[in-house]
Amino acid sequence: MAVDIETFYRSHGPMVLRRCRRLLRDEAKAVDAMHDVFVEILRRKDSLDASSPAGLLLTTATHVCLNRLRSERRKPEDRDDEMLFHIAAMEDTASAESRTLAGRILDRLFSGQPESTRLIAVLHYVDRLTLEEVAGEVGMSVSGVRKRLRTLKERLPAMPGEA
Amino acid sequence: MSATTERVPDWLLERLAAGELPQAQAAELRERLKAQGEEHRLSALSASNAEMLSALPPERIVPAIERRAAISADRARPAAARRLRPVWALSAVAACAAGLAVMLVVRNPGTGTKIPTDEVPPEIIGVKGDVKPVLRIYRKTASGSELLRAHASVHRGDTLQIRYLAAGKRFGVIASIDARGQITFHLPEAPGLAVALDRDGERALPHAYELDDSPGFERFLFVTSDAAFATAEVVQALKSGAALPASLISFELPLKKETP
Repeated sequence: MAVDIETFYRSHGPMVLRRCRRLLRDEAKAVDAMHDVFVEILRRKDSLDASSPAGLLLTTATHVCLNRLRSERRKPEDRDDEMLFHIAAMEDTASAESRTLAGRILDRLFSGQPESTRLIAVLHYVDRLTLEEVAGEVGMSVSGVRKRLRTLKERLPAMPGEA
Repeated sequence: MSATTERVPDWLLERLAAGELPQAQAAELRERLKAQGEEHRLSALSASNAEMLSALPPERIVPAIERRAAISADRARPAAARRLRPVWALSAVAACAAGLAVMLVVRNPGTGTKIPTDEVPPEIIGVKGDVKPVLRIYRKTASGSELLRAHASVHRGDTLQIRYLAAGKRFGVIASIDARGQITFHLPEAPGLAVALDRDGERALPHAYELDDSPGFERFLFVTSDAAFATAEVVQALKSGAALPASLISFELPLKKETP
């Protein structure tokens, strides 16, 4: 896919920055992460699927931020923040993917393989998408999403009203 | 969670604004926003977009992204590209002496001028007047070192000491390329960002280098600026001969590599 990064930034940069702000809660870190999101796009421009650039960028931003949160040492500000830290620190055992190599998850994202459990967890537990909405976003069945989340639930803090 | 009563997640709101959601889902979300009196969230996104692009304009951000991408690509290059082997370190005494001697103003050594070994620093170039950043390369000899002029002949196994005069410039990169197109970084010693230079006096790099047997030439480039920049910009200039940005000043020193 030909990537005109300036056009891409103009159309989606603010959205990416909002996502990074939401997850990192620090303006400077968010701006820095936003740069990295577009660097990932440039690095993988040959394998990009341009059918839904906003979804691709939001997903990439989520992974970039999760990888950064893994090494953060600050105290969580609230329940969502605490949940994010837990998710960021998790091994993605459902896919037997090593989380020690942060780039692998993006390799998979850009190669069209099934979405990571960490992203599914963020969408459901932090962004508050329903199981159906998560399934629609990641291209899986609702039962598939539920199964992924079940494997993580015991390692995550309890969510109010969660079945 | 009920799809009809829960607040529309920001994630979906962004996707809705981008026009990427299936028609039915988009209509359902618009209904939810309306029912919850939150239609303004969509227009707020537009305002937020304009505000962010004003604060972080593409003219500033896009080049930074491209620089970072180039650095990332450089770092992915195999270390085998490093061909000039560091062979001896400048002694701390010499480094201190070079630093102190900046206050002196002496004449520029002429062609073939014999200079002391690196244990005793060579003559120091004064910084008075319109001095520009300069790269100087010395070859180790049996009795000391000799200054190499542009296009001087060098041979495999020659030991070279690189020195620079920043002439007040704050940041710099020293790299070289051979006839095979292999690039070696001398300052910094790996791709990344330009390093902060000692801004006055002639300074030696901490290591000297032994030339390998690649034929043809070794072209050294010293690029300086008052602002930070990435080694990637120097790589492009070395590889393609492309002009450097106007904010960068370059000094080139080609050496001719003779077969032994």
